[in-house]
Amino acid sequence: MESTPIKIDYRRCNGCRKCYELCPMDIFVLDKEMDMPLVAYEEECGFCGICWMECPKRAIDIVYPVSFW
Amino acid sequence: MARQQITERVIETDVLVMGGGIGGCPAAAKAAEHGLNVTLVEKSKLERSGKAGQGLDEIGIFPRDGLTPLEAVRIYLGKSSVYDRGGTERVVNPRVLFKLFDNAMWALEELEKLGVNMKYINGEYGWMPWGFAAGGELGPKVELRVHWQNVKPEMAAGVRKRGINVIERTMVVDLLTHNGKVAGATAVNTRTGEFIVFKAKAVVIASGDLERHYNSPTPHFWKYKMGLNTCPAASSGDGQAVAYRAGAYLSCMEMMRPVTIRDIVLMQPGQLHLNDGIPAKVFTWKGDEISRPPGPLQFMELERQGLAPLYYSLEHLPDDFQKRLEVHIADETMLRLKMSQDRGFNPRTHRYQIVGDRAVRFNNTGIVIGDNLEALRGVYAVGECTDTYGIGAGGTAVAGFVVGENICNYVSGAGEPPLDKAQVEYQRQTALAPLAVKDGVEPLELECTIRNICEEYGGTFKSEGRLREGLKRLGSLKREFLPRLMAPNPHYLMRCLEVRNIMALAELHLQASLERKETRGLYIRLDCPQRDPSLDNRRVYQRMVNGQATIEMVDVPELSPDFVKEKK
Amino acid sequence: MTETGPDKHYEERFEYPLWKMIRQRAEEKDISYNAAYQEILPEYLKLIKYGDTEWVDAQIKKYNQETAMLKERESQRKTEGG
Repeated sequence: MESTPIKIDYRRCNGCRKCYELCPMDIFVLDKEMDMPLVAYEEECGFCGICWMECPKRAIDIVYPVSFW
Repeated sequence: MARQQITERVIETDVLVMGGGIGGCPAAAKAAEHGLNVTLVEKSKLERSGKAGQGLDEIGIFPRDGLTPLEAVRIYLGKSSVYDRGGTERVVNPRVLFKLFDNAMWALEELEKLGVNMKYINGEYGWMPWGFAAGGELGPKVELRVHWQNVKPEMAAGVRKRGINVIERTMVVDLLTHNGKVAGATAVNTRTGEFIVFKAKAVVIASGDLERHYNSPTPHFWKYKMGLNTCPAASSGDGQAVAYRAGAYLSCMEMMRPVTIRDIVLMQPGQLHLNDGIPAKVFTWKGDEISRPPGPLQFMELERQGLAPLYYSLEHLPDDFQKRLEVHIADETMLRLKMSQDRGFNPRTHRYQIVGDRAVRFNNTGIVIGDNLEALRGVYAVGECTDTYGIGAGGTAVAGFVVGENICNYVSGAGEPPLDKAQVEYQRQTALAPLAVKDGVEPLELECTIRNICEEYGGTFKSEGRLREGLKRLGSLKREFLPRLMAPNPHYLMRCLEVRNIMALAELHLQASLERKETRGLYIRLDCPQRDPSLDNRRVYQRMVNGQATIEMVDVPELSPDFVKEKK
Repeated sequence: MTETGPDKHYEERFEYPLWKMIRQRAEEKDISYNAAYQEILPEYLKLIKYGDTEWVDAQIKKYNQETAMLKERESQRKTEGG
């Protein structure tokens, strides 16, 4: 069972890699086949929202996990 | 990842800046302006690194509107701001503070030259009053309202234009020294694992805060261990640890500051206490207003009386100020707008629970810096890694410019730094060791264990027995588990290096707490409940001498009239 | 427990007027939220009385006077042994 607070909508993603470039905690990696970013270190997310606000296609959705409340 | 895959290179530079945040970028930019060869090493990416990465809504203090730098120092040292709640629990260096305030207006001009946009009100600065002004008086307007959601991209562009060698996704391991002088540093690329040796005549440490030795009140951890309210990459105390291992003094490692609201992922203290001049009101859960939130001991008393928790309220704000609040939130962290909406935390109607009995954040604690912001010969430090950075981002940027402006004086006489091969080899081994460990310890798990120790044996309400027990446990963790940290790839190597730093600083924190046997402001020793006047204006200093940890009480430097006259 | 206490709601969703503007602009132009905010900001700032220092100072003064009165009441209660 996996729920992720950082969801990338790959229908919208254009592979610009901004999220991968900018993430202060470096939680993204690049999927070599798809050439798209993947969340690899999900539990290290600092929830700063930088990837979410910088994505030119608004392809990233962030939901604070339940444990934040 | 095999050790044989690790590549290595040597980079020679005049000035190495450790950290590309709001302190490091000004320092690098200014040093480069003076013709020095500058290398900026940054753990993430310049455009969004550090606590200013998401954005800033205010910076201050700028002595103007009738406020002189000297008065600013006096007020800062003496006043009971909402952060202090009843006393100056931090003991800062007034000489450095004076220097920062004295250079603040100049730094503002330098920021503009660097390409940072600051004039938003019809092409003018937007000045706001300083914190509370009591009794119907309006305080001087010395806080600068900024819409700095993009301050880091703007600053990064300015830095890149000045021919600075920017090395990103790279974490400094340790400083290199020779005969008491700095010679450079070693670092690891956190994506490729490349080991880099920097030969530098001078180093500027601008790596940020220490917060990760404690939990945040929000979130309560399940698996999201980094969901702290500020930048976790800039909160592992890298600079403090690196400086300490190189022989620098750290001070005030026992001092803590309260974390104000429970849901700090949604609302920052700035929006509650500043907010362009109309701060939040405080209510008990029964709905009675009180004039200010209490310190931890008073909070416990209110709890006993059945009046806790307390709540901040912004319901009284006129509509215009509610709009300002929205902009404040968007400027600082736009994500919070969306998150508040999704959970119904509407500032027009919601009351924000206050966490009254937790003090976890450090403030003005860390590397001891002198009149020229120097920590060791050739090592300078700016910002939250130091013992005196003024008030937040404003002070840090000023400090960066001041160091950058003056560092050529040191560099011109520094000579070529010789590399100590044994030192380099030792640091390489230490840094890369986790790559070879099998069936070891995950760095994040060890980090959380350290945090649990600090929470349980340090925390807000300290006492000798607990502190000693905590130190015993930390020591045991250090001996048994630190050598078994494992990193299957360079990314985890970064976490291992961070845990190494956090562990060292957590120990210093508990030791410093043992040393200060009194209760003062928000620093609480349950077994020493009185303030000890002999400790007024004295700070705990910690330093390594010949591999041994030393600790002593040292007088805070005096701000003499001569120093004030001399200026800059 | 008063009507305006924290119990009143924790889950009434709402939308910030600013966020609505950001979201709509971003969707309209298919740009990032950051880019949309940079466009919206100067427009939104016009709705705020930044330049009207007299009005702003009056609001701050009003708040400070209320706080001063509250502190007065609190210190009176203390001296009365309340």
